[in-house]
Formats: sequence, structure tokens, C-alpha cells
Amino acid sequence: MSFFNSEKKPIYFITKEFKEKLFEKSDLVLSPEFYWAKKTTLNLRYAYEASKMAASVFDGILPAGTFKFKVFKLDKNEFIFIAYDIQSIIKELEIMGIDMHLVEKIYTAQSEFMDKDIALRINGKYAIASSGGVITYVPLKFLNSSIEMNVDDVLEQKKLSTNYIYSKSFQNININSKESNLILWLLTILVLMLFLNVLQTQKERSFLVEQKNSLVEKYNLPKTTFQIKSLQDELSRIDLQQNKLKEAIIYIGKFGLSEKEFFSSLSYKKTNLKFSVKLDSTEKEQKFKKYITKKYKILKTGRFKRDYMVEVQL
Amino acid sequence: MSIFKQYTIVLLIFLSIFFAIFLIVSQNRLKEEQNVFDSFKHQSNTLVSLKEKWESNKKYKNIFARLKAISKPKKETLKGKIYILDFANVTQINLEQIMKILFNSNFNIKALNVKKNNNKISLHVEVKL
Repeated sequence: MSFFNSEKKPIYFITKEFKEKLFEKSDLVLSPEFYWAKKTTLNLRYAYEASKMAASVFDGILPAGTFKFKVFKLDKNEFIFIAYDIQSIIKELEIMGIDMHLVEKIYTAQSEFMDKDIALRINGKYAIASSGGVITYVPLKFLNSSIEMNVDDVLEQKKLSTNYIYSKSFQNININSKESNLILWLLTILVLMLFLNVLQTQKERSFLVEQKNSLVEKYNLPKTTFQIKSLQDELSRIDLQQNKLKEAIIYIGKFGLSEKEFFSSLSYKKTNLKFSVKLDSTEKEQKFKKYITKKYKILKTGRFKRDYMVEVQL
Repeated sequence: MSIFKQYTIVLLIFLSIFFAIFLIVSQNRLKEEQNVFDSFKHQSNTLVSLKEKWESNKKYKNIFARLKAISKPKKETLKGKIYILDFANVTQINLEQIMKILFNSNFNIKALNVKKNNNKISLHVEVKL
């Protein structure tokens, strides 16, 4: 009795007489033998409102056990409640020989066939039939008309709902409502905190851009670091060159000249400084040359009339 | 736990992971941008002070007026952005005063020429404005 849905996962319809073995991951749809169902009229609009009253709807009906409830809205003010004890169901399925490791999800016949106002044959003896919206498990002989459709054939084409009562993925999550609400709140706070932090970070990034723009505007700067670097290099070069010129003139001017000795010319262009000086003797010239060499590279020396000429590179 | 709660928890976990990753990436970018900005600010400050020193045209008029007050130039020319001053018959004291002003004024001196001939000093100076 295995069929494949669009994802090629087998779906088994399970009655208490189910004898087959599972060989691959499968979904199960339980016959009404495994749970309690009750149709009730309530002056409520939504199923989630009705779900708060589920326990009282089954008050005095259910045996001892840990029951969970699901509510389906059938019509205006009409709700179908189901109650199930998932642990008992799992135990029963294991006793029947079903390998629970291969069970992905468990659904109820109520959630899967509620919309169908028809009867479906399970085997030669039994069928499921809708009785005013409630899916019931009945012997075939109790039904008047002959049933053509088989539950397995319907399941073969059917896409299952999201109203499962068991999921392997959530199997280990065994927490009560208070704990789950706490988790929800904590996660919501965490998401909000992260979101606010993201906003704050983005705000800081925007602030940086604004600061940069205001700096550019205030000092009329180039917009890119590359342009700034280029302009800065150019101005630094000027700064360095002008300082060298000043230092050179001060340094040369500090050379001790006698009363009769004097500088007769000084010429500066690009990186070269050229000057001529009238000196008393050749010894003094040598002394002067030595003094200049201490700090500067001499490019050229010469003599014009009585002037000693030196050209240095700054 | 209801299916709705399970899905909500899964959604919130997904959002937490998404925002956490987004936050880490954003903070890393912010760090990088902060470093780039700090470097930009540092370079800008240096550039601003250099521009102030070497490209401030406001001071020029006043300084040239001071130079001209010391000794009347024989010729003054403006060639593009180069201002040329030619002095003839400058005394030694005046030369020293002019040189002092030139070197203390952060002028970008492109060329300088001083010649002493029979106690007559001539001065040629080219300043980039």
C-alpha cells in the first residue's frame, strides 16, 4: 500500500490492521482509530480561538494520557476538534512493526480528507467516510452505496497538508507551551537586537561618508585618497625644496669671511644653487670648498676673474 | 508545540543567523571604512596645512607691498602664475630685509638671482603664486 507523492516519498494509510514493513522514508496518514474527533458549534470566528477550548470540548471523554489537540474550521461557527496522544500512537505503531526511524511525518485522516464529502475504501471490509465533515472508520457493509474509490488511489495523487501531528525533524523538541513561548520571545528579542545593531552599524557607515563629504567640501579637497596623495606629494616636494634653499643659504652664509671677502652673486633655479665669492687666497678657497662639501654635492667649481664659483645640488 | 510556533521559531532562527552574518559583515566593513577614513583625515589634515602654507594667495598682496616698501622694484611682471620682481641698486641692509621676508613668507621661490657689482646689488626673484 505504498504510493509516491510529487517528491516520490511513499505515503501509507495506517489502520490497526496494517501489516506491511517500511523500507524507506515515508509519511503516514492515520485512520480515525488512532485519535478522537468531535464536531462542535462555537460562537467563534477563527480556529486558533477555538483551540483554546479544545481541552474542555473533550472533557470527560478522553482516557488517561497526554493529549494534544488540533482544530479545523468546517463552516461558519462549526469546528472539528481532534485529540491525540502522540506517544501512545508511536508505541502502537512500533508494536505493529513500523520502523519509526523511517517515518518522516504523521498526519490524520481528518486533516487530509476533511474537504472530501465522499467515502473511500480501505480494504475489503472497511472504509473511511465523511459524516458531516468528521472522517469516520466504518465497515463497508454499513455504507449504502458501493464505493469505487480506494484510499490508496487518492493518496497516490494527493499532496499532503501542513497539518501533521508528528514530524521527525521536531521529534527531539519536547517542550511545553510556556517554554516554547519563552523561546519565541528570546528569539524575537535576539532578532530585534541584531536588527537594531545592523541599523546602528549602517548609520555609523553613513555618518563616516557624511564626515568625509563635509571635509572635502569644507577644505575644497579632492575626493579620492589617490588625488589627495598626489597633491600632498607635490606640496611636500615644494616644502622640502624651499626648506633646503633656506638651509643652504643660511649654511653658506655662516662661512667665516674676512672684511675684504664677500659673496658677489647667488643664483637659484630648480634644484641647483650657484654662487660666487671673492676670497683672499687659494687656501681659503679650498677651505670654503671643504666646508660646502660637508653638506652638499658640488656639481661644478670654477673661476671668473677673481671670483670663485661653486654650483651645488640641493 | 504547534506547527505555527515551530515555523515561527525556524523563521526567527533563520533571521537571527541572517542578521548575525549581516552584522558581522557590516561591522567588518565599518572597521575598514573607519581605517580608510582615518587615513583620509590624516592625509587631509597634512594637505590642508600644506595648502595653507604654500597655496594661500591671500597673504601675497600684503607681503609684496612690504617688499616694495623696502625697495622700489625696477620691474614687476606676472607671467601666468609666476610673479617676477626685479630690483636694482638694493643696499646690503635692504637685501637682507628682503631675503628675510622672502624666506619667512613661505613663498614658493622658483628662481632667485642676486648680483653684486661695484657695491650695486641687483635682485631677481620669481615666485609661484
